[in-house]
Amino acid sequence: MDRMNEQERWIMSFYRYSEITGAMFFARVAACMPAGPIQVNLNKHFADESMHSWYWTKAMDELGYKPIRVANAYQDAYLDAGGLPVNMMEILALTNVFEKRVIKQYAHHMRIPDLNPVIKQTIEKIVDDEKWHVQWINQALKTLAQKYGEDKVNKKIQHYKAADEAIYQKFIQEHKDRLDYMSSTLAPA
Amino acid sequence: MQMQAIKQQLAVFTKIPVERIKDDAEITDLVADSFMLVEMLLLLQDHFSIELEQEDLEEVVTVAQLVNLVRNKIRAAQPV
Repeated sequence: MDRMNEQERWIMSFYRYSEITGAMFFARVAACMPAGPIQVNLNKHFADESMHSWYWTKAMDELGYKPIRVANAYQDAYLDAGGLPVNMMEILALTNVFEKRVIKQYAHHMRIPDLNPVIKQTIEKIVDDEKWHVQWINQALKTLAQKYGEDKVNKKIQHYKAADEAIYQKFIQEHKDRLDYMSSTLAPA
Repeated sequence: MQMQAIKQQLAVFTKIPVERIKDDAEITDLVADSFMLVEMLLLLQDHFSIELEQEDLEEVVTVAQLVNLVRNKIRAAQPV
């Protein structure tokens, strides 16, 4: 396998594992949510993440790549740097920041010249869902702001944004060798 | 009484017999991973009708500290 294909295989494995991790996280949260609009959207969100991991698995299979076992998902770094969210507002504030990062990352990937159509179509399908994720979470956070106060919600979002900036820079540095085929599209965080 | 009820909930969630949940055990040792810990904390809040925040957990390491935190939250939530 040439270097570019090896890098492509790694990043697709990384996306796949991040989607699996997202599904596992939302499975845990969805399992104990009380009934209501947040439960409905959160359960759909969980199903989407699971589907996304399948889209990546299918895309890799189509391209003849075997997924690599990835040691850590991006989400693991969030919990380390930003701390464990312990109520629904905190979970959604973290997810709001994370989903925006995912959309940005996929946008960087879409700018790779002559991107393989299988990867392009996979990202397009996923990003459509991710946009809805941001939308429903923003709406839910507006509702929760009535309970927690707008200031508290914004502070929590800022808290996770700061963690995200640090994590993303570290991620780029750590995986520099694996990301250099898309380095021209990677803007600073 | 309240402390036992809180530990009982931990036992129900973790499926560890309540008598085996030691006060000085670290809460991260009761669960397989951080996602499971989030679920356990959400269930405790729902069961006891309390609200926890990230900052509340900053100093919480052991079962005894978590039980104390939940007990204080229950007391604070009760009408005077």
